[in-house]
Amino acid sequence: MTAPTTAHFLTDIEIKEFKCFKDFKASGFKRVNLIGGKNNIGKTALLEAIYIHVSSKTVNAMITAIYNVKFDRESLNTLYHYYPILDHKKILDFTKSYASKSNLINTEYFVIENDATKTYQINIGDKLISIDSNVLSITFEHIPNVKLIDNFGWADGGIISAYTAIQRHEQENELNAFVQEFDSSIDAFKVMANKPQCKTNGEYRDITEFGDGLKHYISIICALYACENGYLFIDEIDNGIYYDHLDRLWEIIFTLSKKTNCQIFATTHSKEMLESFARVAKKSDEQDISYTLLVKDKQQEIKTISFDYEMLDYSIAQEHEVR
Amino acid sequence: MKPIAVLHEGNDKSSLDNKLIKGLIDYLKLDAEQVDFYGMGVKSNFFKSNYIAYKALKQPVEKGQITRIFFVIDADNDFEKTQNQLESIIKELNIETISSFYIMCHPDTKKGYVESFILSTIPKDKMDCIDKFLECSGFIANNGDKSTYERIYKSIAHPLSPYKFDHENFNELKTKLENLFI
Repeated sequence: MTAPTTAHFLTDIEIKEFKCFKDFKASGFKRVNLIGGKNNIGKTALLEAIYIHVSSKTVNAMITAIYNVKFDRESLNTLYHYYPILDHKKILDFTKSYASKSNLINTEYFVIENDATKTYQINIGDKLISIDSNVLSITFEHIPNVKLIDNFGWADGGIISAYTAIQRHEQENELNAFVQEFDSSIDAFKVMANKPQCKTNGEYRDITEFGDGLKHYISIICALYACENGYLFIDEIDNGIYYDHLDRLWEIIFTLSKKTNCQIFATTHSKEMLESFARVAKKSDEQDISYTLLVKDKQQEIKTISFDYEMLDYSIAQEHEVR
Repeated sequence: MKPIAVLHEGNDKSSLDNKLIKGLIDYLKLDAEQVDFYGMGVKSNFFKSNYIAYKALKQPVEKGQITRIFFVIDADNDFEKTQNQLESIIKELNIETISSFYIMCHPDTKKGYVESFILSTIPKDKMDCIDKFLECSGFIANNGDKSTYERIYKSIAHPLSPYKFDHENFNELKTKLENLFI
């Protein structure tokens, strides 16, 4: 049996014509990557762009990823019926363009409207296809080891799906140990009656009865197994997590991402989270990390400053403002 | 990111250069929030283009996030050599247009370090007294360490006001600092 390779890891990417990115480049990505920057600078958009990029294994998978990033942002509106009819094409059509190029593959997606015709032009790895809007039938194809946890966290379905990877790897006891560390009043986590549940005081209760931090924590651990040899994207990773648990969360991420050969991309705007990231990386001598800071230059174009382990360690020790 | 980078000897906030520059920024009522300090460790690190601080500066400078770099360095025994080496590394790093520097020394002799510079701002009668003390105690002959100079300065010369920022010897440094904020 050969050792898993990291050949699938994304090291650099160029993004054009997608959301706030006109002509954007980022590089220096490692196994665990944290992305920071001021509000509304494009952290989530970068996460989404990379998510679409690595999901683009097939036309259907690319369309599904493009659809997902919009659907996730609209999920609350959908829930509260601001969309009277869930029109998949309408959701897909919010994204008119996307182009990216990396060390892995080139991808493009453009919606071209001429007169009364609309065409979807999709290019994956220099294989270009055009689909007339009238014949486009959206067939969802999710890449099983590429997952995105958005800032609202996963609903039950996401956790249940990822938990099957924990079961497949027979890691239920490890997960329970992690959960007990997080909250000593919880004895175990299980999916029962198609609901994620936690056992406390001898009784299983729906995970929704506990805080969002616990759900987020369990989602991340399950996802790390589900994304074996793949990619995990976590928007606002510190959401709901008490600062006392941040170091432990990074320890788990560093350990499990190595074990499952999973590349991580996470965003934060929290100084505590960034300091914890650097502190745990140093303590565990985990050098396969990067921190990408998004900034705007004088022309208001988005640029990146990429910190490797050594630079981040120096900047944090010098108490530089690197958020 | 903060637009002004001040590079100084020593590694952290406890270094005398750091405390002096911060004190002067406060004294001049300049916006300290615009400044990040880069501890360079020993003097020789200033002249290594691959030193970690320069690596940390490279991208922010290229992306227009850091717009001023100020080097604060000791002359030791050779002001001119220090200046030449500094100009050379600034050129090598291609940061001439945004860089400036101040070489710490006794202004009269052009030798010494930040401690000598601070000592130069105390009244002559007190300085003579300190010199006499250093001579009698054998401090200079025994190559006494820099931190002792600082303690002598603080405890004997200006116990209530550690730095005499209104002294004319601070004028050039003040001007250079103020220019960073223009």
